[in-house]
Amino acid sequence: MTAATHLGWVDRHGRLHVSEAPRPGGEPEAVTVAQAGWPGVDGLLHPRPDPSAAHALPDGSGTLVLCDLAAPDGTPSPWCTRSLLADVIDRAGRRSLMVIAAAEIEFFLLDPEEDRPVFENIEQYGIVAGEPYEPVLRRIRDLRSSGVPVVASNCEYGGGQFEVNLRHGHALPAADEIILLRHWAREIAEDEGYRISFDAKPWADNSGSGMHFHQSLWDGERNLFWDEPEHLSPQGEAYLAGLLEAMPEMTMLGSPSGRAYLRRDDFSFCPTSACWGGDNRTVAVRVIAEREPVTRIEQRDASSDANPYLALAAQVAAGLDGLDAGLSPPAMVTGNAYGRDDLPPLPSSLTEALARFAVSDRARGLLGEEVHSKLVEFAVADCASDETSERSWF
Amino acid sequence: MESALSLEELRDEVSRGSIDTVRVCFSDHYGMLRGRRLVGEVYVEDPQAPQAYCDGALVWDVHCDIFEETDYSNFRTGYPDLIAHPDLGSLRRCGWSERSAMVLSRITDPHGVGSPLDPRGLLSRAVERAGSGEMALSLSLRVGRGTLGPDWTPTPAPEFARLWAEGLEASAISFDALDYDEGDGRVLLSLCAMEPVAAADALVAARSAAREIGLVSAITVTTLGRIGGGDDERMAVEPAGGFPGDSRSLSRLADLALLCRPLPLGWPAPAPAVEGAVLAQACANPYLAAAAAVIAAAPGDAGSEHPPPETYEEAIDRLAGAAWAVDWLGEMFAHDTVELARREEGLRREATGGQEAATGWDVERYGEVG
Repeated sequence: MTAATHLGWVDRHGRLHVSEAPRPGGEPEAVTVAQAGWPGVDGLLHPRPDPSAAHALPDGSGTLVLCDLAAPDGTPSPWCTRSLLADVIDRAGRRSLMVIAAAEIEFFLLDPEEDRPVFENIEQYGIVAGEPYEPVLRRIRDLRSSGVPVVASNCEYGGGQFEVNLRHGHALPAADEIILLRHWAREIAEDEGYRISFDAKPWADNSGSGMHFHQSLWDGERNLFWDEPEHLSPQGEAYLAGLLEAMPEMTMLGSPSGRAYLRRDDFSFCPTSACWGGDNRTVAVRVIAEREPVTRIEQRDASSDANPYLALAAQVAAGLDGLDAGLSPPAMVTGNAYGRDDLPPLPSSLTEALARFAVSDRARGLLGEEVHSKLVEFAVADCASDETSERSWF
Repeated sequence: MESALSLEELRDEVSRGSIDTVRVCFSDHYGMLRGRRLVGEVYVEDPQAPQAYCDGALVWDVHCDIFEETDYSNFRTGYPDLIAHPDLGSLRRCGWSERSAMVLSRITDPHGVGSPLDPRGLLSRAVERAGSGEMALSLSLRVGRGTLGPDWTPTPAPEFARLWAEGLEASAISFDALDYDEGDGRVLLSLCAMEPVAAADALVAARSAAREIGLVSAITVTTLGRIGGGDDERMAVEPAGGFPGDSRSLSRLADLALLCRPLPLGWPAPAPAVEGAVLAQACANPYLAAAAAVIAAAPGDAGSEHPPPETYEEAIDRLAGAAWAVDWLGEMFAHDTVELARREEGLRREATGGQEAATGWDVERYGEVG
């Protein structure tokens, strides 16, 4: 079999679209902006392969190269979410800083006939409960051979729910890896006779699925966030403050569906207020500062069905804004953050998130006027329908 | 403790691809293995790298329900991390599971302080303090076909014993006997005598192996007794030289009955010790059952003067009132064990009226414990 090259581009929702690469000398087939997830927007987008984002296909039959979507004149398109994240990372690069990120992502395995989780009991970290699904989970861990650096998997706090941890690395590849993981995990699950769901809240009576991003800034070999155990550096504190300040108005980028807000509930382990803490699972942002190599900030509010480029771009931009402005974070929360009325609440519905996002100059500045306006338009339509009724493709 | 699989052997197997997964595990309160499956290549990069887990894992009930009455971990504490430090002495192949190895862990808080609720740590401390020698553990299970229910009568599944024996041998879990009675579906595993923590490690691994073999082979495996009003399945802990069985050790053992019989099903209990062995429920946590045997036999004050508890409520009260035992178990462990049991007792009484035989509710709630 001849090794084939495939090209992949990502739509607004964070879905990967794959096609065969053109013959040598040919051009990748253009896609319409509408096909890229922006209905109502005219124009074409041209896939531009990123040679640094080449991944061996899991079956060994060839290579998949991720693409940016460029405007017809070859310049980066505002409709390309991957390019948006790259722009934000460049902003750090101009300060000679590297953005390092790692993701944890949760999902459910489903019995395709019953449309229910493969097991019903909560079995968090359960070794025995996970064993029957090892044919799926092992192949997901094996995605390392395709450049998706899976470190580990475990059962999560929902019947039939699992979590996969990815190794930290540069932020753009870290987001790419989420796209690839979701795409290939779906193929693997179906190949093994299951279905997989990255929906934020597939069932009202079960846990929701989150996508946590761990992030840090590095100046060469120096972790800019490190100061001493359990303390962030002043730069780390400023970045943290930026995350917290922006979180309510940028929530929609990490929680794009109405269903994502069904997981935002007190005592759900999903944050409900823009607050931070140390070793605390009730806060929105955890600070993990034990040793320099592992010191990082974990933002915990995004859902598994988010577009990771949008979610991470919003977070990193907010952190960099905090750094630029020299912000100071509010007091650390110790103990239970749920039910506290002295903490800034996070949106509890898509309608609330939209209201904050629609008037956000920060969001407009990050995305550009056109993209911001389109996202508002789509969310208005989602809110006009029953915003939580449809389980998403994810 | 000499490991069943050396780090060098593991590295070699990972490089050859014959092992690609290492489970970094710990025991919860019920002796059920919790943890992550690490990519083998990742694990061998830094085999002693600590793994962080939510510390609620040491206090939740049999269905991972949050247990708010504890001071150890709850929403008030923010459910911080527990840190699992792999104990390389416990490294072994999982001979029943494709290309897998496992390692058990020492549990601390993020500051390196040993967890008061870590069952393995508790046994380790008790053994060190008592200077205990080797012990032999055994376990009975029932296996067969069909859906487990209160009146389940297993049809034979003779391949289970072969699969289990092969899995244990490939995992270097040494056993003296593994006998299967096709008539009642009972399998009895007798491990060789070994140092107590190693013995409990081996039994935890063996019991998990049985469960996993059952799940992937569509064979029902249960530690649950009183099915159809029948006998308990049991775990036996036999210290080298035998459990003393004198009035002092028996009174101490009676105070610790809850460690050997953690569920409200299975009462009134059979004799707590016979022929030099401490008897526990098959679903008991092997670390805690072994700790009960070690602590009861150790020098010190006698336990309560009352006869062994006949009910779960009495067992709870005995542990709650055993001031001497707090010195061994720690205040938090003793408190949380009592409160967890009180909650469980209330749930079962409400659901079943406290009847002796296993009910459908018991099967659903406890069928996968241990």
